[in-house]
Amino acid sequence: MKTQKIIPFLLLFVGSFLIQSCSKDDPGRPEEELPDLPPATVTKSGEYTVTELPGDLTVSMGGQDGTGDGGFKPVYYSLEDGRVVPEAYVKSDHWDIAFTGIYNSSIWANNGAAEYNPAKGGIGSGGAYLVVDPVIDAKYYDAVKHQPKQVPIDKSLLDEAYSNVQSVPVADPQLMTNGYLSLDYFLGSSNGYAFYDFYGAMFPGNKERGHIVYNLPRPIIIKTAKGNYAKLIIYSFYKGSPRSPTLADKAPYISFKYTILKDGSKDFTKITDN
Amino acid sequence: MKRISRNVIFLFVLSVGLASCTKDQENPQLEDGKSTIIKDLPGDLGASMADGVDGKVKRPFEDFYFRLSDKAQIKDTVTYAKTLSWDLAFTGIYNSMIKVNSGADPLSPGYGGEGKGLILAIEKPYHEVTMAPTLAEMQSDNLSFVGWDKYPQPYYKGWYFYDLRTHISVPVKGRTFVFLTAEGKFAKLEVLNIYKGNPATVTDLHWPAPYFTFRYYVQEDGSRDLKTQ
Repeated sequence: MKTQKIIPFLLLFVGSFLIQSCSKDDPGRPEEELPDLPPATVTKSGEYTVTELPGDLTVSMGGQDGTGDGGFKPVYYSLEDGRVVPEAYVKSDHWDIAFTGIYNSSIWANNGAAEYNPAKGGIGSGGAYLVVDPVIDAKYYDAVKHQPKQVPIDKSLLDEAYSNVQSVPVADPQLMTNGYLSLDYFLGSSNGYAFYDFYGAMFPGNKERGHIVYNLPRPIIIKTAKGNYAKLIIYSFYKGSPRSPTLADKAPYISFKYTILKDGSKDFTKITDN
Repeated sequence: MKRISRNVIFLFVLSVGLASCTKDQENPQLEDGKSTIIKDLPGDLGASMADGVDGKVKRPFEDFYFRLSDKAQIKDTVTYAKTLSWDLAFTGIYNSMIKVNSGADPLSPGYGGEGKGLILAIEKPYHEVTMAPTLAEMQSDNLSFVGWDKYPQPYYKGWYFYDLRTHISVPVKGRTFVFLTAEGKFAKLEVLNIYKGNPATVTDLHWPAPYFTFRYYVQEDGSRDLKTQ
């Protein structure tokens, strides 16, 4: 994320969503053209770790020539099967979580019935929910300024928040389907899963430390495309998962941990052998 | 000969002057005899999104409030947030996210106060919006604020787009916002521009901003009648 051209960056940020929503209208490909899926790495309920899942690394966000459109390609991932799923499967139930938009930072579940969902018209019945635990928030978050009290935020706090989620805390109608989980209080959003230090508030005067994304101890519930439940904590969007990244760190590389219950259960304390 | 040419030049200059006058008033439909028109209301001119912009500091924009009844701009947001002294809050980046005063809405600066504000978008030109939706519709379609179109979620209706090639804010044409004032009166709003002078088109990223040009009409009798023509 470059410092010099903040305005274009910002505008591209929003623009990328516009562009993306246009490309959503592409009709799905016929079934016979679907490419092969990579081999599944997950076959049963349990806890899994995904390290440095690459986002779209081909897009430059400098935008100095004014022609960049910020059109980061979405990354579709199957929590049920533990693999990246090609775009051609967007309307299938083979993916559960999508990372879209700028730096792949907008997080969707797969729901074909939702008008604005990437899977619109598809068969997925998923949803997403951000867990904001007031007890955990009190330990690191300034609710007036909407920013962390200090950084880095200990990884142990992210793990603690994740462990505290023992079951799916909300009913299905409260899951988000027509929108995405986003950065925290940025450009009109509300609670988010990560803090984007747009103004460099964490390190005043240090330009290498502005425009940094800090993942927060706020776990995510994903109802999968097939209707099962998972909980997830995202550790980092940077290569190497540094707790206190700088502009020199490469992004987006998404590292997260999740628990998938493949039997429809909502109880994360009991992992059955399914 | 000399005299004539001088007159010709004079006439030429005059005609150019006249032409530019008529251009400035090229929105004759703005004046409808009932609406209030606000021109070039300055927002926070000292803030910037970027480093190194002349006379500006890279920092968050300071919000301000606006009271419709007497066109008052209120900059002391700390004191007045939870009062009925304001109807619209100009918040966030370039003061471009316009919120209503609602005591019940956590997204409103008036949260916890008495404000009754709600806001929704209608895909019609301002003068064609003659009747507000019912209170129930206002509640179910409430946007809380209007700013960048399709942000923070794709289903949000904003008052402007961004042009990606030029990084210019372009107001959404033919979209009108119906809202409730702090006291719960029905009103309508058209936001025309964020750039100084309300230019029809802006090609310069550094055109002075934010200067808000907008018009509104408040139905004082409590009914939903928003006819302005």
